[in-house]
Amino acid sequence: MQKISSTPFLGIFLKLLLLSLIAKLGTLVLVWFLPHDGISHNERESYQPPYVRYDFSSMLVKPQATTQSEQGGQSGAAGISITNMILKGLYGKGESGVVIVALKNDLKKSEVIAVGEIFEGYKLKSIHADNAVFEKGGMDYVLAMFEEKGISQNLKKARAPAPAQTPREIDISKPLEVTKKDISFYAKNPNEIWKQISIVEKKKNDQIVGFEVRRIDPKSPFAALGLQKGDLIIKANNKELKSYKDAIEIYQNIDTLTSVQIVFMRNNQEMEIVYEVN
Amino acid sequence: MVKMAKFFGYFFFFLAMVLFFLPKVQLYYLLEHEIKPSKVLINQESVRDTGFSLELRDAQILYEGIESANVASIDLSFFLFYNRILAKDITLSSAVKSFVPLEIETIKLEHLFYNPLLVKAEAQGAFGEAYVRINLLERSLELRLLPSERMKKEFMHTLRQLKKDQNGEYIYAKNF
Repeated sequence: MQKISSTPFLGIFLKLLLLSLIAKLGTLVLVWFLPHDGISHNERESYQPPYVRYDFSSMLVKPQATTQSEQGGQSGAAGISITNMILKGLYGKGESGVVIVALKNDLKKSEVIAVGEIFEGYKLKSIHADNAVFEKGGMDYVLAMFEEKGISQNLKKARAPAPAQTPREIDISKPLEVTKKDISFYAKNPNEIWKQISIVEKKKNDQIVGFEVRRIDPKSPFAALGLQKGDLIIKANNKELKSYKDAIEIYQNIDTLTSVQIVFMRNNQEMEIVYEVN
Repeated sequence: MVKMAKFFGYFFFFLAMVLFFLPKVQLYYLLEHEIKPSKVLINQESVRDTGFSLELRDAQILYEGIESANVASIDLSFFLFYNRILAKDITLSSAVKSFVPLEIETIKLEHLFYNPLLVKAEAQGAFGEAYVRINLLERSLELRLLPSERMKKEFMHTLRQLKKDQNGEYIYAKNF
């Protein structure tokens, strides 16, 4: 009887075992140079509250009368826009102090307003180094210090409209209406959107800071939305647009929204438009 | 002749052992790092080394941080002479629901050793059937789409973006 050690199979088996060991050792060396962890996506928590729009007019019986009594009988407050106000001086910081404000059409007639008081319907909320924050209708308006160079530089950052600047005299101080039918049409025909409007991302230090309107057909429905060429959209529904993901999320939920708020930069001024989806 | 047969036998056995012992999970992590600059990310997947291939389960594909698709299973097989990636049960993000049906049954990518400059892919789903040829030398991509009835009926606006040929196929070509 032949011994196992003398059969050719043992030699073959040993060779195969050796080859397996070499293969294993080679791959173990490879492990040393390869990454030991993959990449996972971590969603950063947003501390921005979701945008919610309340219609107080339906809750208050006489909203106009309430405003007037708070102002001590000032009339016509509802009709004054923040763009018609200038900040001539300020004293104090945070929630204590006073500011001197006036209307553009009557610069000599100025008023001293303390924090918490109301001027032309705008309640003074807080005072900062070179601006004051007013509140009206649940929204904040930042009024910068008046500079002698011109009134146009006065309002650096106001979430208020500038209807005169829009080509079709669109009043963006009031919510603009958008129909669900239009949204549905453009959702199904995206190529129609890009024929009429061109929006591209704007980057700073390789980070998206917003989406810029590069072209807008003045005859298209988009022109009636109050946007202009050069506007940089920075927020939508209180969410900063810093990636395509942020923009897509708004787009994905557009069918369910009853109102859309966008904040954009125009001529270094921050502005806001609200759309009501009907 | 016997010596030659023995040599090739040992050689293929060695190759098979190398493939078997290859740290596929770590190689997959390397792949993730390599595709990161392209802003493509495979997320939340469970990775399993199945010997000669690698299996990913319940993967979420993100592009630029946007959830683009969810894939039930992806099988990556690399045999040097024949390489294949097979993805099954893919659901696209609802962001594209206006453009294409969201359900894709399978996507198969193949690369063969005797044609190293060509990558072929085919996909079947609610949209119909698609055949893709990627020429790595010419850096060109050609997609031929045979749309389903649903695609023709509900997503004609997407098909209009493609060129239609005489056979009723829709063609998309791009150089990269």
